[in-house]
Amino acid sequence: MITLKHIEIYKSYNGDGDGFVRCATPEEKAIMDYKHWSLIESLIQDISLVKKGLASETYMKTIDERLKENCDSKETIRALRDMA
Amino acid sequence: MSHAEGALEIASVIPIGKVARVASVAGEVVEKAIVNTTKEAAAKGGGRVFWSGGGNEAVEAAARKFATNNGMTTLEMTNAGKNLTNLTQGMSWAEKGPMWQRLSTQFAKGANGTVHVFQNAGGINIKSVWGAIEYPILKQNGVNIIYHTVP
Repeated sequence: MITLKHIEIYKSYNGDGDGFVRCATPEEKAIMDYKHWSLIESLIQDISLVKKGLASETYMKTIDERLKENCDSKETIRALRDMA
Repeated sequence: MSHAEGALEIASVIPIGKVARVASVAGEVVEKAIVNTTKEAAAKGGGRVFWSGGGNEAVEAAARKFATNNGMTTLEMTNAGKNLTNLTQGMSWAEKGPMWQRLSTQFAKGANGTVHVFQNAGGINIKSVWGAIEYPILKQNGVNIIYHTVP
């Protein structure tokens, strides 16, 4: 489940996963692991497809469902949409 | 690597504005950390191992293990990498990132012969240091790259 805290950490590394692996603090690594990181990247990519008009209606619905299933709040979904 | 060379290597990746801030610390850390080892000698040009995991720690771990087992080195295993890790503790990624990018650039520029790169089987980011900095340098310099994927 993605939370605003995960997004905050992701943004603090400017989406650089290697930077996160290299320099994340123990506290950050306790909150965020690779599954969170890759899920955020995947969701951002999906939202980007929608923003660029490249996704079908059916796929857009699938993405909305994925966002609801994997994010803890509307604020988190909004934060993801803002990053895409 | 001499102490002076180690200090120079670190200084070259720290922005001018940061030099004064870390200089007093750098002398002490470099003094303690710089040791010329066989592995580092192997890393002078060849024997370099790169990695890009897109957030997957297993990739870095695999690269480190491979390097250790084969007398090679990753950037983080070099004295410069260790020193930069120590010197930038507590800094934000916005501050650390450019320093690591400059060190990665030097690491790639100094490579020759054959290098190894470990990558996440799930894909890597084209904007990663590997994709944006290290790979173009290695390719331009005609370095042979052996790829390894980590699930």
